[in-house]
Amino acid sequence: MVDPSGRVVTQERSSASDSFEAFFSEAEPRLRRALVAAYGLDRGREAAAEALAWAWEHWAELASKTNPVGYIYRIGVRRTRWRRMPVTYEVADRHETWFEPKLRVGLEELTKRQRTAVVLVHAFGWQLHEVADVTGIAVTTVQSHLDRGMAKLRAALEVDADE
Amino acid sequence: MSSRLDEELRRIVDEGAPPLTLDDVVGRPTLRRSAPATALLAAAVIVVIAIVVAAGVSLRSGNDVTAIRPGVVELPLSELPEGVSVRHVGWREVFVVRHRAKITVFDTDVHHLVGERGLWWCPNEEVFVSPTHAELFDRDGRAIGGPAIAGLDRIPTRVHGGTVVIGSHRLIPGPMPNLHTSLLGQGGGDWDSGPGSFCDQALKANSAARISVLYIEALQTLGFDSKEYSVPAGRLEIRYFGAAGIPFTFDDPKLRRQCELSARTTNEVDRCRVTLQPGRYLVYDPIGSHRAAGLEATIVATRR
Repeated sequence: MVDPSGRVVTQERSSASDSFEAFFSEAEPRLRRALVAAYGLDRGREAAAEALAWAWEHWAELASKTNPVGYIYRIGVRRTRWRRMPVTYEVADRHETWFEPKLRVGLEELTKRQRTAVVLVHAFGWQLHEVADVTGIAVTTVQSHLDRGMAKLRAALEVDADE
Repeated sequence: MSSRLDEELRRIVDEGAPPLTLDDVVGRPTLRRSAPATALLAAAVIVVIAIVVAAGVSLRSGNDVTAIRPGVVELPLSELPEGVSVRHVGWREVFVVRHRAKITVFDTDVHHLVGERGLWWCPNEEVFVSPTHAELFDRDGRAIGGPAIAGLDRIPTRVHGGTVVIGSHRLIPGPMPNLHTSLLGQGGGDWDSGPGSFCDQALKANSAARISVLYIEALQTLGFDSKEYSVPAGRLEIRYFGAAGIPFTFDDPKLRRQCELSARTTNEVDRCRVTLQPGRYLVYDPIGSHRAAGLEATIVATRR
């Protein structure tokens, strides 16, 4: 393992670093979107950063998990519990007009699980089982949150099911 | 929902919470939950440290380690000796404790006065000691003597293959002393580390605070709150409280003369002081069959 010239050590170091970076690129958008859907823009992004910081520190342990994104999703959830930031989807410094101004408020009025299902499935095209894998909720429960969330959102936006 | 609404939903999430980068999360400061003011101060200090490290400024020479990105350093495991050694990570002086492939990195804040950071490793006694006020910490960083209010802070570290990666600008707070053993302020002591030890000289010169406090509670259910208490050997103050009318003493006749206590209420403490050499000491309630009923425990005194 130890090469007096240091060549092997250098390779090991770079492969460890590369594998975390590959995981980071793949996991970051999924994790951030899932946590933002659940906890709002600021708190969700903070929770994702905390979870990924934990992942970096415990990479050797995490790399052996079968569902590492789901694992650190729960870390992010745990680490955001003590924060008392409101769930909000107000995008600062945006000059464009929203197509549907009531959408943000409607989103905030959904429950955490309904919002997660609606955002991940509709906005980002996740399959139900993908939502279930990350959040640790059963697929049938995700489906039920999705249906209720959509019904509530449509009512808030005053649109029909086929619009 | 229409594809236009889906698109708008996507934009709310991605524009409102833009992607994180590696630098946002690696070596990220973690705030102390119970002290927001301290957390803000720590965050400010961390930002300054990050800027200094990012600028490649090193205030120390010797065993310096180069940052691979701001606040993160890597070094080969093979360079670290077994046991305790000193490194400079960026500007920060740290103690690296190696036990085979397990690496623990301690900061040198002794958790007493602001700015008091001097810390020595005493190889004979296997303790960390601060020469200024004799704060004492064991090999695992726990506070075991002197006025330190918490154990040594750790710096997050992971070992992958032959490489040690240290995130140098985030701290994991040191453990607080537990309920059973806390530490008194100034006091005399007879801690002797043997001939030739600079640690011994430092401790004597600074009138080290070395009286430990052990809290023992008598329970209504005819028992003490633990069957075994661990304390550092040396001067010990026992503070006894709990269910009224349950006395407490040592099995050892000499210690029994020095320490006979009686619990009155959960709020009123009876106390005594004894000196314990390393070893195991039986304590019990001398009334009738109380000892047989479970009012018996062991105090284990270990070498500091």
